[in-house]
Amino acid sequence: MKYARYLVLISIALTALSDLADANGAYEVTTTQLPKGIEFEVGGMDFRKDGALFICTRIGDVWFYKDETWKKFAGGLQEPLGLVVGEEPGEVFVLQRTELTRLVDKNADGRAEVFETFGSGWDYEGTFHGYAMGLIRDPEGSFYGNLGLEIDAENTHDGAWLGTRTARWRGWHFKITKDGTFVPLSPGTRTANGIVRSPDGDIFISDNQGSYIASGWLMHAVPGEFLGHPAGLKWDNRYSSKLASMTVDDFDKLRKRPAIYFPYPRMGRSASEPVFDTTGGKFGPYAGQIFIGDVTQELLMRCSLENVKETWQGACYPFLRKGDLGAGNNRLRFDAKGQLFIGQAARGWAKGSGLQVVRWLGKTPKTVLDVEIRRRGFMLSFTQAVDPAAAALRANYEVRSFRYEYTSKYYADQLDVQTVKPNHVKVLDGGKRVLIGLPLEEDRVYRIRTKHLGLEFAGESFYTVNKIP
Amino acid sequence: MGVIAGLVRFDREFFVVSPGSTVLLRFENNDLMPHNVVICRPGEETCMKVAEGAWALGDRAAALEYIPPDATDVLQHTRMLNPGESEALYFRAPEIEDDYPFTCTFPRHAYSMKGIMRVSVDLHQSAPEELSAEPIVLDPAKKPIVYRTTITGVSTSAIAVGMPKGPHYVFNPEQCTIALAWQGDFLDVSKDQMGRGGAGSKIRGEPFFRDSGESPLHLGAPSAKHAIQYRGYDLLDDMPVFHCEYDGVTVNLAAAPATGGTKLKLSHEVIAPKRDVFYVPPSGMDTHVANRGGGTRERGYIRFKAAPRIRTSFEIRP
Repeated sequence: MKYARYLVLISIALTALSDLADANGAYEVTTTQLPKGIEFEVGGMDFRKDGALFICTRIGDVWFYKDETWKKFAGGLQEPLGLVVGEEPGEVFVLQRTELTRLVDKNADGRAEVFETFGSGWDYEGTFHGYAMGLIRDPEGSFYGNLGLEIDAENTHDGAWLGTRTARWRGWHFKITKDGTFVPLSPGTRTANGIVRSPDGDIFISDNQGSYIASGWLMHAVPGEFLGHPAGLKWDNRYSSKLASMTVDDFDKLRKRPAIYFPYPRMGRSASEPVFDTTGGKFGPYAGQIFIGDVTQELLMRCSLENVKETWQGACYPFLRKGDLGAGNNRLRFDAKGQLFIGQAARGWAKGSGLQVVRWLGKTPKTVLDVEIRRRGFMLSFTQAVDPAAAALRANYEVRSFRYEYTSKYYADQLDVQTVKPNHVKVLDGGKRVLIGLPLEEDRVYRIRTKHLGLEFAGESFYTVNKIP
Repeated sequence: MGVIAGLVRFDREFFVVSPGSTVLLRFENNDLMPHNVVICRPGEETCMKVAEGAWALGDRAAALEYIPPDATDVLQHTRMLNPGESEALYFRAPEIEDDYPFTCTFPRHAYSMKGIMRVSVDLHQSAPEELSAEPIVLDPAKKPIVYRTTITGVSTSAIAVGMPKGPHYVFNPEQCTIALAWQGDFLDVSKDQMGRGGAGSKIRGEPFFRDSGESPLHLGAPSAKHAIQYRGYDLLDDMPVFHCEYDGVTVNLAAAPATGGTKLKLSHEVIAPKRDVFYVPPSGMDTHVANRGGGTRERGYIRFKAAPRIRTSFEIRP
């Protein structure tokens, strides 16, 4: 009798585990063979129109892959963390610590001879955290990136360990116009490693957890808005003179809220570059969503965004976890076939470097496609219809909500954690969608998990509510 | 014991104690992040396992001082110390002679914060090799190497150039000058390329030339100051030709090994200056003027008449 009870407990435990299991037979991860003896820590990555893949590495080299061969295009760059292939023949742009550089292979021998300073204008004091990160170009030819804060022992605010004393424009999201002019756009980044432009032209940046950045997040970057970390306000003439007397509450009132939190550490510790799935279905059912990885974990996530009352918000979901996937996920790009290339670099934080490729095998995974907010709850859409009877049970949805502390402490707490009981559930479209009614509050994150619906990762979703429609 | 600020490493990564002796370990957190010291049972992975256990504590970590309650491999540990705090650990060293690894269990720090407490009757020992990893030294023996990095005292974004037979030099883009020149091995990039990196490089030799930190080239008057803009470089046979602008006037600069017993030849090219160009040799520098630009030696400087293109070359000798 005693043992029988244990067996029941064990089987319940196993069910819970398998519901959370990471099996995902719909995708295949392969590891690319790289030239031996080469440090391949990917800091930037882009495809040329002819399909050649260009990569820059943390130790300062640029490589390209064409006709099944790797060739070194350039070397000697200062920790480049962004790369965009240019439109002129032989032209590649890389973002070094102190400048955006235009490399040109003029004589078409496969190696750059020109290392032209294309744009610069920020300072770098020589601490490892002073990164210049991410690089994208808009259709008009302007470049965008982010400047990480440097370590500054003497200019902390309430003990935050990153600051900026004399180095200009640290902690800013910036633009370099096509004529090479440096334009600081918005203050408030900490270590914003990633940047992406939506098909509609909105720019989103991903920042790293630490002081004032409660958890990794995706932020809609609009020029002039304060993006969260006060160190960069020093270079904002609206605030620089009063900065010393401003309190954490003042910063809190001033700051823009992130569109999506990646709750630490379940959804990673250090977000990668985001990329929009523009494959039109070649990569599976998630067309239009964002894919984003984690530098310290074997984790890829996806995100859905929606605009509510002129504010971007949405949800993140685990996509691949462990298995064949490595850590160090830093740069993401889709190739023309709709395969997702992952450039990896984790040195100093975790193990993992190199290049992996994720391919959709054609099978539709069974999971939450997306979560959308409604006035009184969430609409969950599934990639395949789920059992309508199971889906109709309120008890099969576990919802927890919390808000993040805004603090100079290195680790913020989840505050006011609540279990939220759905008050009703409505199954729609024969089990393809479910409307879950529950009380909503703004400025909170909602974690949703499902039971007995047979969904991958137990349908785990984290929705950041900035606005209720 | 403390921390090398900014590098996420202990400033002491190896020490020896006698078996069974009383140990006083004073740890001062002189860094800007929280740190602790956790001494573990012998084994290559024990500390990493403890650290991973601590990371998995999530929200409970702070209350538990970042020590997993079920960890069996922890021998001694300090509290998680905030910046500026310190703590003294008094403990009896293990009786068994072995290497006892230590680490910091703050998330991710164990990848770079690691050391060994060796228990041994022989107190005079040097650190095991894996703790003093081979430095990464760039070797330009086969062809020139150009490498952009922080060189203390020159620039946080200097350009080091190594040549197969030397000499090697450092270009300072902020002043458009050759800042250092030396013979021997080229460049130690370990602090740039190991661990979290980005901490700069060290030249592997005693410089026979060190500039004053200012450009020797002046337009209009020997003491004229200019807004100098670095514009990049081109590679010509793997050697860089640097481009700068002095108040909008283009100045190109190249350096090459010199023949005839001298060491480094600097070639400047000034494009269409409207006024005369003055070369003021850095003090203590032994220069030869190759008079290709028609320069005339005057008191303390060499003057070149304004022309569509002025070419000068100077040699730096040890």
